[in-house]
Amino acid sequence: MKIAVASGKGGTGKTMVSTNLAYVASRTSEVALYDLDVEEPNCRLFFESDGEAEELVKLMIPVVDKDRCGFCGVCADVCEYNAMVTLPADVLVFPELCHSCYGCLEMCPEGAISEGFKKIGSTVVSRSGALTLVSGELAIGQPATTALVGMTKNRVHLAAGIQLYDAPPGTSCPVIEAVRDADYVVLVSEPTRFGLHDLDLMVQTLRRLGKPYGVVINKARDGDYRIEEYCRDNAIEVILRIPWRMDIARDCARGRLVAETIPDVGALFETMLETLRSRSPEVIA
Amino acid sequence: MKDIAVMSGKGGTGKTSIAAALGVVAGANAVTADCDVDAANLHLLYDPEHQEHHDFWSGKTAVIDYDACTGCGICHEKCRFGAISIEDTRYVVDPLGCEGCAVCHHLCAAGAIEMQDVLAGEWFVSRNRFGHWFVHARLGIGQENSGKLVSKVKAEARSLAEREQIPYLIVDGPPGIGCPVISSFSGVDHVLVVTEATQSGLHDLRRLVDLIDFFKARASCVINKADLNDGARDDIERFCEARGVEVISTIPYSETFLDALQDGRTIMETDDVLIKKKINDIWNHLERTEMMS
Amino acid sequence: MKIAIPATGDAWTARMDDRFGRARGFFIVDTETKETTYVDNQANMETGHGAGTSAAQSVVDAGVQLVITAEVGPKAGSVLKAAGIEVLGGVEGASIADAYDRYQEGSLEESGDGS
Repeated sequence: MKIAVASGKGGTGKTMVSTNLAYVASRTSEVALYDLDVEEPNCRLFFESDGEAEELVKLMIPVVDKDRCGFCGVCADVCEYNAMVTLPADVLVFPELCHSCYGCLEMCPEGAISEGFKKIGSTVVSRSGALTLVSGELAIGQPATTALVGMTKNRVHLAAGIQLYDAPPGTSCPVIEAVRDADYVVLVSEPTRFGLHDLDLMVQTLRRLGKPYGVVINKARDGDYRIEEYCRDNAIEVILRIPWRMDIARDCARGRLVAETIPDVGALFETMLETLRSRSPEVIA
Repeated sequence: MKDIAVMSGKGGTGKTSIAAALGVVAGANAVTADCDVDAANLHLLYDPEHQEHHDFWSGKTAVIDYDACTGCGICHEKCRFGAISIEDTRYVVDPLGCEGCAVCHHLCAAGAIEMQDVLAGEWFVSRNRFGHWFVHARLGIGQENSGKLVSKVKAEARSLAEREQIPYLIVDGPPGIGCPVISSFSGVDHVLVVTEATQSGLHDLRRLVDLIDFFKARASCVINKADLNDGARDDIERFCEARGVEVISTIPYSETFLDALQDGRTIMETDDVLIKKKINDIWNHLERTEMMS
Repeated sequence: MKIAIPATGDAWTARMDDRFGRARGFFIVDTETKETTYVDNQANMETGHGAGTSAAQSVVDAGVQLVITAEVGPKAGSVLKAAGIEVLGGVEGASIADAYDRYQEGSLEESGDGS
């Protein structure tokens, strides 16, 4: 079963939920957790790993064979990203502008363009018990967030079990890419104006994508039920309510898994896992 | 005119709360710009009155004319972004997946694919509820966040500040380290990094400072939730010192931030004397630093 | 030879545009024939990335040998350099006619890459 954890708003506790859910699930079955917040990946901070394998991630950029090139200018004309410039006797390629669409390669009348590569970041695969953690990390200055999200998802395929995707914040392209393969999306929200506003944006997004979803209310405080009310008014299931507590905040701040360090929080995540399992069309081992 | 960007790397550190509060303290001396355009939040505290509203067009999407389509499938085959699929017997473009690269348009022998401009969002020039200038935007769902809308908001805010002879621009920056962040650094004089005393905060701070070095901007740091993890706070202070980033304030973890956020108030409208003083001190420090440079 | 000047409009009296990649257009003068042409660059004013490379491509395509400009960004600069087009940078504020006259008089300094 593929479960994405998203939020819209940053800082609501998306990573706390995805890492703790992954941990609890890994106590009884094989789990893969994909950290798709490739600009600022944090899941790794919460796990001690038994070993890591890093792989560079590359995207295609065009390489022009100047001997075959007729300097006709078609490649520069078709490039929507202005990544190519044709001079009377030379062709310049700007890798940082290239979106790897292969348009130039397809359209070159001389077949003078072939595939080169640029490095955009890396993926790191690590193991912690029955958990496989796959983290995508974008190289500073590379405009390739969405592409790296896609490639991180495809780095490792689990035969069976649960696959969790920790999505980036926001509702733009990278988030769409992160959730598009999910069977179910967990939306983490908080009872503040910002939390409610961004939850609504994510709900609109998931409705457009046709994904089933449920809400986890994090940092819940007595007396403020705006998220519960919103969910009730919109027929959205609240999967879990995690209270605002200093001990939870402190352990997260220390990079600890609260499902491990605080027993009653561990029980909350067990409950959440059961709820999600009952939503799954497959049988989970 | 001095351009001050309030950034964080990691979401949820209190960046927008602090940027909003600084805007209140600066008053008529600052134009505030919300460059965190993907799930923008600052307007929820500022309750703006729109003076201007503009459409934001960005990128293109492929549209298939089914009268001309011969069903050859080359578009589906050649799309590198998986945006064209087969539904029943028809090829269908997923607008949320389409990158606007136009390869399908160029390769379609029947000329059945047209590239249409995308209305990707909107931007506004407003007065906030304190009566001060506020430039902000909304990026549509599933849009490419290339930094173009951020650039637009910044450019408009800058020219507004120059026209009105307002000495400061306060930018609420986007999270992360990608193109939108890079766009918000354009022409920046001072980057105020709001981090938090947590392992994640420290990790994300490192990556953001690497990016800031690239732009050779002055950077200073506010450590929020400073008493949450003493180890992390010490590591952050050591890191900042090593990288020439001045830590100008530490703010203890406080429910004041949450309380204010609950009713859409800024920190300056709460009773928390300690934190309000810290915000005032931060602004005074920024003013002093920028006036001297 | 042909000289390109980033322009806010198609007229000798128009002000120079203080940007290259996002200039409104390029005013091009043929120093021998005195003919002028104008290349509209408005498509690049609003583009996300690649304004510089696209503007530079237009200038290359127009057969220009010299650019007189306030500034030129790194990507555009590398294109002009690769194309062997000279850049006189740091020229600001003037009308096109004014900038051109100062060039003819020799009172504009060569500053290489326009920075």
